[in-house]
Amino acid sequence: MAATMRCSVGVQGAAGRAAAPRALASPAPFAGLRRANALDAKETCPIQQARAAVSRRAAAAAARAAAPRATTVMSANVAPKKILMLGGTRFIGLYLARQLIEAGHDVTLLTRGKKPVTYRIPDDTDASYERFASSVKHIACDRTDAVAMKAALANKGFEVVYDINGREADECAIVLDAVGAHNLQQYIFCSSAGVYKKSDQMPHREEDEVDFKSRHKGKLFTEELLQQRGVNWTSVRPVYIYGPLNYNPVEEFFFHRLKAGRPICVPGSGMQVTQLGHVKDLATAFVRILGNPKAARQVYNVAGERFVTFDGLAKACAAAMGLPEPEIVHYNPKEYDFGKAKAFPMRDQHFFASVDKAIEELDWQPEFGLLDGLRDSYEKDFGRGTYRKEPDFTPDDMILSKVKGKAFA
Amino acid sequence: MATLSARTAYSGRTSLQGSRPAARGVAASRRVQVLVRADSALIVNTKGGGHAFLGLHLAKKLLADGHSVTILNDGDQGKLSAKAPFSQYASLRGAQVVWGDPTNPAYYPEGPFDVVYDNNGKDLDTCQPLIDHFKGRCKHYVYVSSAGAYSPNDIEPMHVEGDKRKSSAGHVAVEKYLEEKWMPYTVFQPQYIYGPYTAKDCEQWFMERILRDRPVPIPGPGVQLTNLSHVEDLADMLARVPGNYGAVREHFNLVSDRCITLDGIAKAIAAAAGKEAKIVHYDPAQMGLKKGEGFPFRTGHFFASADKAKRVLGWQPKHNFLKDVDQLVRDFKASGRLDKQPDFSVDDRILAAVGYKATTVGASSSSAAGPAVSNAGVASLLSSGLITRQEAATFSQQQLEFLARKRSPSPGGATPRSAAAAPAAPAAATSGDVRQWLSRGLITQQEAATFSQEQLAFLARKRGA
Repeated sequence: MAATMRCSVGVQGAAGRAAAPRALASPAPFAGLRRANALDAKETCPIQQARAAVSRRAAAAAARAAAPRATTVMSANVAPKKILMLGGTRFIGLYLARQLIEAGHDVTLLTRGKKPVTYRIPDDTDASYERFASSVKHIACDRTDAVAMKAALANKGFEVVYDINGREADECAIVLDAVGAHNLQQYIFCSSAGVYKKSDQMPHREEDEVDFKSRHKGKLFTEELLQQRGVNWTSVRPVYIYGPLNYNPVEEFFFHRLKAGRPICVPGSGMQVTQLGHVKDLATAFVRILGNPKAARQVYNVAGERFVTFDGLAKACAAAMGLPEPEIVHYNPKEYDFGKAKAFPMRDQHFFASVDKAIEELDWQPEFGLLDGLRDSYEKDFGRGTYRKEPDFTPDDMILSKVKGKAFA
Repeated sequence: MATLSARTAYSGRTSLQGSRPAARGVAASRRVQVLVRADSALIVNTKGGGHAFLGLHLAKKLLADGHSVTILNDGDQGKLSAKAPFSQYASLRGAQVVWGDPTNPAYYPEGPFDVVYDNNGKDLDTCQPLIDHFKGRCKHYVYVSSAGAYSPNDIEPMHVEGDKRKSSAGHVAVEKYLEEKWMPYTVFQPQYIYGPYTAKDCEQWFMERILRDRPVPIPGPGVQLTNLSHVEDLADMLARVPGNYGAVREHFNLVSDRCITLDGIAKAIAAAAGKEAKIVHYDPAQMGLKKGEGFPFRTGHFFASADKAKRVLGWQPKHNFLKDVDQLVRDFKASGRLDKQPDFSVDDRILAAVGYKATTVGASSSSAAGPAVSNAGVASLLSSGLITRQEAATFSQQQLEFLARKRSPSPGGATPRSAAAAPAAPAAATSGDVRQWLSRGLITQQEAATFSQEQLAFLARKRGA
């Protein structure tokens, strides 16, 4: 039982494939796994390498699922908790709530109630969705309304709060006051690596300087508030989250253009380095924090282990869709005024963080490398015809007109 | 791989669990314990290059840890003893230093040695005699290889142990031989190293230029990331091998846990020196440079992960470049190198090719108010809004004309540049726009009075973003 706690949602896909023998072939460009020291100098084509990496990963996941880990899996040994989750119905919360239910916890989602609280997602099976939908609870409330929150949450005995969508310190204060300190054991907060001050020296590490002028400063003030209140808090700083049902058009940006056969317009040199983190890995990290004494009053960067260039991400998305390498057009963003439209989904700078603290202290490891993560997102979402935002190719056409002399035809 | 149970350390290193910062690097379940005892180490050191001072600092660290150290140094003692790092050997208390050819067993010091470090060979011919001699005769065989042997990966650029290596690299042939021979090897893969007593320049290339107020020509966009590692941190990593059986038959990147952009190196040094970095980017492919000319580092991303060393060796760096840069500038100033006249002819060639013109006080170009034009041609480019005043002040006529051609609407009636700013807006701006830009502080009165509408529109867009 203990061993299967790890990643019940999502392992489905990986372990479902036949476990290939653990060949020590050359690692793929996108593999991202900690691998054995193979000194194989054979040149194999990138797609073959990628497939080899994916089947190695599947084999590893299957092996892990089959044999119990020697080390203690904290969450599996944690007694069931009464959990309140704020923001459990859009993206991260979907996977996190399911993992917590599977682990035997009592989970209540707090939302305004404007949208359905439970709905089937591609990673669900009939049985798993049935278990989830019948177990998860709901409280309808506006989290910014202090009075309503007190009425809804007082004396309900919540032991753990997962605050996934909190943005400002006041919002957090409302929750703390409403839930009450008596039973509260842990407050686990979703912050953002966007709080780090931009730097020439990278990666961002948890001890680095943060930017109190950034648009994420509310997250910093929340962390401060939690510390002041003496709560047992943990803050998680993801980088760019991706995966099926992402409401932020990160991979979707590339998928739209690739599907339309359009070139990908990348600002600057395309050598800017960034980092994606799969939502399921993020959910698992959140689960690992529960009941983990090491995590008390700590901040953790959580994302994939490898970093990717802007150009590289375009290529990886194409590979995930089974398409050949895309045409990439570079442009100088300063030469344009795109108005409110976003020409590119990512900050035009290096943006990546070290996750070695989370790996070390939370007994956590990202399951997805870049290629299999993007494949997962494509196969379970965009590739099925679903996406969140209609594409706006106006910025692309502006760029193409200028750089190539004509818009895309 | 044998795991050893926890033992008390002689050296006073705290064992496992202890306080937060110490334990942070390594989980109890995963760390292989280091037995501290007096080992006998042989360091075979190179006669020059970026690695040479690694041998010196490693010797220092091993001695401090209580081991006995013998150094076999390649090269001519007469020529090298006076130079850094070899001049510092005298300060190594208790180390034995002999000079000789590392490919000739006749020179090998009498053992026995528990651990052998080959910090010299770059190919199998050089390394093989040493390996063959010590097979079966040591507990650890450490080979200092190179991170340069990784195949470049333009998608996921960070090098992680186990990633594909260049099959043709000499170092890789040595690594394969160690594997085939079942040596108790540990391979370390360093990049660029800085610190006291180096035999080869690293950050000094930047200092030579910045501290002389010279521009710094950097190839490519300048965002390329590289590792710059302090030699003491790396010596510490290497010194963690003796007694650590978790290190056997493993590769480690011998690097800091931070990387830095090429522009960032220049900016950090400039800030430490109280100067402004004049960075000039160029395309190296257009320069016709010979090997070794131009920039001292690789021009693509070149950085590696140090996570494995932290996990398996329990290593933690104490340095990073930004922390050290003030001291590095002080050291450089104290070195007397600024009194010399380095050869900047390659720099000058590059700067000329990109049309770099220094802005100096008193020259005809100035960044202050007043049009900075030296001839009618440039004036017309300015008034057509195709170049900015900053460019007119800095670039050569040739460069300005190149830019003007590049930015002009192409002859086939393609969309003019200004249309990119506001969809369906006509090329010229109205005076109402000018008033708005003035009130928003995007243009000055001086500029409004002097420049064409198109130039003002250009500036407003550029500054308003």
